[in-house]
Amino acid sequence: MPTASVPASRRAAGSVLTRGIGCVLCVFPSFAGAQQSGTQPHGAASDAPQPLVRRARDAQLAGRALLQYPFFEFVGVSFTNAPVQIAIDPTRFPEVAGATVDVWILAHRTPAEWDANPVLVDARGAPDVFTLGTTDVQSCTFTTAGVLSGDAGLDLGVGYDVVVDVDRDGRAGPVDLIDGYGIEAGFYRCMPTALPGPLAVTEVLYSGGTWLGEDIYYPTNIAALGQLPLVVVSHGNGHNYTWYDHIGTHLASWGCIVMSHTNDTVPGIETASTTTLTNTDHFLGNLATIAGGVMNGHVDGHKIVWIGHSRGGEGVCRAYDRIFDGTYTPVRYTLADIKLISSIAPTDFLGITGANPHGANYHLWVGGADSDVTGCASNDIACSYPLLQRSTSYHQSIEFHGAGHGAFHADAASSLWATGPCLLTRAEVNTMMKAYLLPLVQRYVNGNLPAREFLWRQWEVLQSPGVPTNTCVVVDLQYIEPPAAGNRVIDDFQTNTATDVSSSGAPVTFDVTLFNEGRLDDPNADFTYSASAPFNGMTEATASDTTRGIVFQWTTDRFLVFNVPAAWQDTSGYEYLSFRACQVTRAPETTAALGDLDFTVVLLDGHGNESSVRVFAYGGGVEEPYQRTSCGTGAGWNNEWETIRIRMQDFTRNGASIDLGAITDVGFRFGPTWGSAVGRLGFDDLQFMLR
Amino acid sequence: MKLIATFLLGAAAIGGTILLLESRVSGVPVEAAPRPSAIEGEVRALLAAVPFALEEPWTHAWRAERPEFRGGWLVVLEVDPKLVEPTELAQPVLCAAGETVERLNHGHASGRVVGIVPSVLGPDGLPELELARATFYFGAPALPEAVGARWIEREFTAATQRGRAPFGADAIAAARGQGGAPIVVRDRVELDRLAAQWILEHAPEEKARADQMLVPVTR
Repeated sequence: MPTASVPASRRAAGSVLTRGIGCVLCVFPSFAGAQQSGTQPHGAASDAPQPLVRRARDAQLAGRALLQYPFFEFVGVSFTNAPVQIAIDPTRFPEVAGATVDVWILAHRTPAEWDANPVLVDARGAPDVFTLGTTDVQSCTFTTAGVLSGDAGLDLGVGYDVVVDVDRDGRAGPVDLIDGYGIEAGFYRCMPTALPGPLAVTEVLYSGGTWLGEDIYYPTNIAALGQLPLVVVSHGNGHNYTWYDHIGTHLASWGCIVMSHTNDTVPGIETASTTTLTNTDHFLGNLATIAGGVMNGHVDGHKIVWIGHSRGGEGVCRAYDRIFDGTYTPVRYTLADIKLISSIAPTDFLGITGANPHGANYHLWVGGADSDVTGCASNDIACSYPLLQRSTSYHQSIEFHGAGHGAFHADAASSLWATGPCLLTRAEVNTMMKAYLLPLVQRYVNGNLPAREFLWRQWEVLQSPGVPTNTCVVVDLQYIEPPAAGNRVIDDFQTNTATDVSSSGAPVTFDVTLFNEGRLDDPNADFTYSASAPFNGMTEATASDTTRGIVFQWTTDRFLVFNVPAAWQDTSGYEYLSFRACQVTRAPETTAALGDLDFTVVLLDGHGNESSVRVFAYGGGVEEPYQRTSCGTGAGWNNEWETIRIRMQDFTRNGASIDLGAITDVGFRFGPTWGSAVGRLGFDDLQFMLR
Repeated sequence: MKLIATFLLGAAAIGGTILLLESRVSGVPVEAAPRPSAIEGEVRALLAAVPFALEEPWTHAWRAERPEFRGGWLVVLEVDPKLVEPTELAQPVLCAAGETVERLNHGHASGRVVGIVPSVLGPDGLPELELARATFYFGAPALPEAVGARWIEREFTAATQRGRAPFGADAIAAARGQGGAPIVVRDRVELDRLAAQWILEHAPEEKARADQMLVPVTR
């Protein structure tokens, strides 16, 4: 299997690469010097043996087994119905290979707590005893016994640390391994996010006057609770403020106060934004009288989430924009209090100058079957994705195949506004919304750590119990961090627009064909495939937006390589390699095989080593566009971007000689040897991520 | 994506305000049946009309200039329901002569729209806008908040050219009879309560909208 052919690459550095591209030096010019150096890889710093350290050594241990290389994914979140798996790579920790060890799972401790008390107390009552293999991670992968609670009350995720007690002395000592020595636990067990939280919910209707009607959901025992975040819901045109029970009851059951207000959408976006702004202010200013004052003193006005649907979805962006621009000044909150804006199938009447979330954390919901805000290239107003790309802070999206515009609210009597194959019911979409919304809100309101994984791990492998699982359920996720996050962006295609140089200034080489770099904006009014329209199906930008990326294709083995700037080649402090990609709708290379697209990601170091991972290894590739027709001829709707993140350590698995301290190139191999035989791909935002 | 300009006005300066009138609005959902353009029969009847006066002014958010008003007409119109079916995209704008009508319900299920036609009040406390001179019509699809005097004038001219005209004296008299005596209310909230009763009567399918207007106000 090509992707697991690490020994081959170690035998002859670059040989696997050469098979793919024919001329290693012309593709990876930085190889020339490195191959001659003979320098030994120094490995990732954090997991290297540290004999002087008195505490247990850091190691990633918890996660889930994979069917192909890298054979194990160290991830931090699982639901209470799933087994806890742990693995040790014996090539990384050869001193423990073959040993019989105790594996302890403990309630998470802070580093200070660990330093003060290394005595092991298993949360299940007793540790597991495993005998490690000697050859590879597969021989050291185990499923632990016992039951672990995921009940964190109103929080999401109970943190646990894992200790491999090598000397079996019941203490976490220098010869042992620990996963969770830090702020973040080794792993988190989570209650199903699609299911109600622990609190009973009370709903009240309130009116403070014209366009100050509010449907409010709060925990019934609010008097016993502290200050809770405020989630404001702004409905869409033709919708009603009482149609969001699924959001209101769900989030209130998990400790939020939710206020869905009458939204003045018919005149337009400006008026809708006004009602979002004024209702938020009115609510905060009248807590002493609303619902008899029961919420007075229990609303945290510094933790506000705005959720808007359709025109209301654009309206919440406009509301933020107005505060940002200084044309509206709230009385009882500030811009900094808006912790998250989430738009459900928003329109884009106002464009970049008017509907702009600027520095807000932003989230977007899209329904592939939406027959109102259709997403077709014929109408900028009906395309939602540009709003996502305008955020300069953390921004993420979720797209459901088969979801109509009306499936995002809860009014059973209303039309789904849906067209296309394999339509989802309103109940299905509502449930999926709840499953994702809880961690989304928890992440940005409370800084919840495990919630982050819900925002980027493929739906196929991380979905809450309770969500529909039929074959019509197809979900795409994007997760993008801002520059302030400290990631190293190798190429986001926003600068250095020549195709042979990345935005970070380093060379880009390729032999994929029909390679184009440009704005992610379908150039005409339909999705009909045309070889002369390379950005067909792209709806991430309007003519006024600047979001750029690349498009290319292959029909035989091909490559694409990004050289890493010299100053950035020590990647040992970075946890993930990340990029986003999409299949290009209706292209013959896309429709040749309907299904996820697979290819191979390669790291190359300055010593001439390489290691590669198949995208499919994690359980899903790049999604086939939703097979909806109209908007021109052919089947397939907008190009569905997905974020793919691969843990850097995965490239080192089973003794792969790759030096994460000297990564010279990030490469991608396509074609029958490396994944899907043919394909046409959009690609963007290649970076090393800290977390 | 291509910008669809069903009408292109660009920027117009009206009343000292720069109005960015839709240069890229299309009210046609891609897969919906083509939305009818404004046609004969677009506003089919004036079913009820009553003058009102507000002690506290309200802002007319349905046009770009955002004028305040203290009175006008509360009306019930019978319209082509296809023209008022709610969509997230642009919809035809309901107008009365040189003014936009604030629609208090959608009207797509019943074909009946309860609306407010703002007007300056005369010395007698009644609207200066006479129903006998008020042609009701649908302008092109747009966001009402973005249309200004020039746009309305153009659409009014177009409506006149396609034969739209004020309702006859008999129809107006009947509508006035249905509407009852002129209303003087304290504020918009009280006007909404009256209007909600008309929604319940004429467009009962939109009870939820009426209920929303009838929730007791906590002052």
